[in-house]
Amino acid sequence: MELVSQTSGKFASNRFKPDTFDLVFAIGILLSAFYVFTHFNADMDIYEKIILMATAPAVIALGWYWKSIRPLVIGIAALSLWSISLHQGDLARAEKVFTLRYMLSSQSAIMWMGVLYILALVVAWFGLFRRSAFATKFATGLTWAATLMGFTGMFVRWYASYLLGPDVGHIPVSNLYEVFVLFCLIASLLTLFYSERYQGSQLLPFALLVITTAVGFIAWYAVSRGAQQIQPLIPALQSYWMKIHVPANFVGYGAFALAAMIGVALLLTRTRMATYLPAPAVLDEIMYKAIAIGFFFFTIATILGALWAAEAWGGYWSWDPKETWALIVWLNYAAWLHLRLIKGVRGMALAWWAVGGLLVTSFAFLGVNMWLSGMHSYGGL
Amino acid sequence: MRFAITLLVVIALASIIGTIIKQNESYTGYLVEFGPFWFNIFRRLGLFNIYSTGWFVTILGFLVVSTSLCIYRHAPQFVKDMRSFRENATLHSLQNFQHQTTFATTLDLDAQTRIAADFLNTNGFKYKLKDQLHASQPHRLLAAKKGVAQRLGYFFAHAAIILICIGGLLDGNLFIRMQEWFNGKQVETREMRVSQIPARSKLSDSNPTFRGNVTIPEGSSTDVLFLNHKEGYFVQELPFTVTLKKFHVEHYPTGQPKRFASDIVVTLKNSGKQISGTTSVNHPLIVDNIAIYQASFGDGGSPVTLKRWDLDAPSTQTTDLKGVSQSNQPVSVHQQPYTLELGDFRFFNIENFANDKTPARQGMMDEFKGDMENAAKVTKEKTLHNVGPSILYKLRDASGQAREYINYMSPITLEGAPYFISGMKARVIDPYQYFRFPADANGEITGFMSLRALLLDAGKRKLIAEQTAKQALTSTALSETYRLQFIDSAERVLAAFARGGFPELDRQLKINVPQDKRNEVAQIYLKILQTSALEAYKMQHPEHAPTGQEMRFVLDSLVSMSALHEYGSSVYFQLTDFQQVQASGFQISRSPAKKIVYLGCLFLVLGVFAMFYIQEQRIWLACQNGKLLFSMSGTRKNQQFEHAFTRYQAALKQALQSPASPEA
Ligand code: HEM
Repeated sequence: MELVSQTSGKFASNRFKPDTFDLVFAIGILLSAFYVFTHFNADMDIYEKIILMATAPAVIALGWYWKSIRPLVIGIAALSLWSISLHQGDLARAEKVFTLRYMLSSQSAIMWMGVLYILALVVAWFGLFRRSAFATKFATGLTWAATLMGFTGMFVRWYASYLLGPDVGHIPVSNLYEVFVLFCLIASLLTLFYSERYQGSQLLPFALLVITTAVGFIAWYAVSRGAQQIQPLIPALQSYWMKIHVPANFVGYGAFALAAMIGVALLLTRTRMATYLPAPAVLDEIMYKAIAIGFFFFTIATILGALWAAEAWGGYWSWDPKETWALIVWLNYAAWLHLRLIKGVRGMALAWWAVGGLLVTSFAFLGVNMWLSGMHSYGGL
Repeated sequence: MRFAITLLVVIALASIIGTIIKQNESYTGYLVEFGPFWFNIFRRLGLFNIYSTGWFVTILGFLVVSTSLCIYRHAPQFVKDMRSFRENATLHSLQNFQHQTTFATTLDLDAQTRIAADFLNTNGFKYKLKDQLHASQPHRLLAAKKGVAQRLGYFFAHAAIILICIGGLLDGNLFIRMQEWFNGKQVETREMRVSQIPARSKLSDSNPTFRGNVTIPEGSSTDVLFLNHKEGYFVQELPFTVTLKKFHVEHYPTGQPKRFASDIVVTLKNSGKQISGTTSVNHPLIVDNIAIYQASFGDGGSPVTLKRWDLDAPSTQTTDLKGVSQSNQPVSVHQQPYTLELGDFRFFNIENFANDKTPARQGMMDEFKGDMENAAKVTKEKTLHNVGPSILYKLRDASGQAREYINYMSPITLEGAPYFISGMKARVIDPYQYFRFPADANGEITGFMSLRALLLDAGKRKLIAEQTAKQALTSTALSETYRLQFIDSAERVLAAFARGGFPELDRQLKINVPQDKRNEVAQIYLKILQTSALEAYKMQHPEHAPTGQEMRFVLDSLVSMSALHEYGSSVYFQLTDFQQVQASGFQISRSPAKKIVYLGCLFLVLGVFAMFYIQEQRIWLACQNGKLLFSMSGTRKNQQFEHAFTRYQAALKQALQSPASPEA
């Protein structure tokens, strides 16, 4: 027997109610999407139209779900468009125009990203040890700024690739250099998200350790190998799958890296460091959350990879080293999740495992490219 | 459960081996790589095609079984749990929940119930109402649940594992193995024509799943496929014939490949129906559930014309020799029988011969600065470019000794002058050693060859020497004897050079000239040689005085002549004409179980999502007179759960205080 068929509205349900900023944000996104759709309609094929139509609501939803990302989105749009307008369709200007050369050309933007991450690292650790809320806030700000610059750099790079030649242009997720930048960006976004959801959880100092390591690699890779040069896509990479397969993978990698760093923090709670760190229970939960989201995206990424392989290599699974290592990573975290979800295992053992997991992941990410030859030998070092 | 986890880890570890040892290579290759001892051990363990060896497949089998068992074990309980509202929970047990509060209230049961129900609906709970008015503690219970789909997630994720494994097994080489076990099929290990391959190594086109490769030259067809299996291969018959019309390669301006595509015609055997289409990387052509992929490409045997230069014949007589790349033919050199093994003909060669020297930088700081500047650019001027067609060949003597040569058809500009390039190596593993022959004014190799012929011709030596003397000894005052001496030494220089190039001259120097004089004399020898060469050149081109370019040509020629003593063969085959025939490598596969696998993938995503992001929550609201008990439980007691609990608590508290019922 139903006493009350429908809600009388007396109870504040926890359903989402957009505020003005939300609405402005949404309208802004929709308008720009509409603008792009109408202005560049002729240049877009069906995939691109679908992607565009899917992106707009996705970004809006993301902005509503995680409010602090809205300014970032706006900032990225603004800076990228500014940089593009400064280029005036001429790559050479990237070195001539002051603003481009020292700030907004894809390379300088990415260099700024690196610098800001490193600053953020220093400030974050200072904040941790001095228990300075201000420093921590500041480090967070720096991380946001770095992320802003990074994304700008990537978008401008995307644009620049088309200046090299209409047939050369492609989304910058096609080689090791580009995906490393992507890794930094995604890892920091995840960190920022969880630090916000679990106030006072000191994730930044630890997460930034991995991120700045990646930054170091990027710098070395660019300086010693000229890896930042934009290369046209070899036929195997000319596929729409790449655009979603690679980013999905890097949400996975980023999340696993974060989880590992939280693992480190968790292990440190056993030491004198403990007094500076949040409660193990909190860390433990975030570690789980990170691995969960990582696992979810990594699952999707691997499946996308299979779909792509079915189209490019003539089979959805070929036991190619990269594939196999993806599976290994996947199995590793599946095991981890089983322990946590079913056996209810908690604490140090899983922390260690998460740290170990990062080694496995990094091998799948880098080691394979360096030591194992296979059909995936694109991002070769 | 422990078992499941162990399985996951074991599979992970086993898979690693397969990534370290390259899979499905030729067994001879492995033998070389690991040596007989380890080779045999590894082969026994099946490490060379580990993912299809018995033990590995068995472990996967365990995975399937254990997962199925797990589902079987959990299913009934889960279904019951999902259905049930747990409305039989006793008040006592509810009071002992970790998350529970009792609110004092003046409202009567119905009013409480109304509020409770309202509250549950608003928060998306389904509930069941049960009166316990005659219990020891009379109460009315609203048992509610939300997010039970989390349990479904578990089913989906695990069903997915099973589907994927089974699908994979079917699409794997299961059927081929069955043919081996029950149908007496055996792999073929020898290289031979398809027509000669015995039936026991052929698989009929009724074979439900296969994945193999085949290479087709332009203009040819095939109706079979080669499936690598263990130490050999099977021939898979296709229900159609594939004909390669044309293979295309497109390049970016920078030289990197942009597109590989094959225009093919597929002719169905049963209906004779013809389907023509193009398959390119990432765009397979699918004909009745058989997918044709662009896998590789190469030279399909191109007719070529080679001009044969006999380097030790003091003449420029050449003979044309017709051949087809990828095939052998006998040739005789000095009446000795040789085999000319023509290899790849390449139409395109993206090479970088020019050892591009970057301007010398002063010290670390500059070095670094330069690097930074480069690091700031996303572009770089390319040193690579296409240097045109080339032919690769081996010249093998009767004893089986062979040298490998690669000759480029058109002159290549190095340091500002055009040269014909020929690479040579004595052993496969060596890098090529490149020889360059300066191209003459008309961009031909003839100029060099004839100059060489003349300069090395013993008969002409005296003449050249005299010319040289005339050139060198301008002042008439010199005595006749000295002139003769000079001519004589000029001849000796030429002779020595003819015998062994500069090294030989050097040897002569060491023999005949005392230490302290050598440098000076060496200069003289060099001068004589150069002058003679120039004189020889003038004899061939009397019309005008040699230009600076021609001077360089002559000096270069001397270098090349000297180097030719290292060429390791007395014939040079110049590629003069060709008619390119390419070949395209296809991978052709039939994988009916794909759909199962993809369904599994879908399940996996849904399942994992549900398991992680749907939270099962249960609430019991026990309305009693004077108070309402609120108890809550969930599958995961995380922060999210705590937040929800406090929020619900507050909401209820507030609702119970505010005047709820009209009559209040
Ligand atoms: C990769 C192959 C997998 C295998 C072999 C496997 C195996 C198992 C087995 C055997 C159990 C039941 C243990 C028992 O009842 O004794 C189980 C439980 C479970 N598995 Fe998996 N699983 C796999 C993948 C996954 C994945 C991808 C997930 C999702 C993250 C997952 C999540 C779970 C959960 C949540 C349970 C606990 C169910 C419960 O008891 O409430 N499993 N798994």
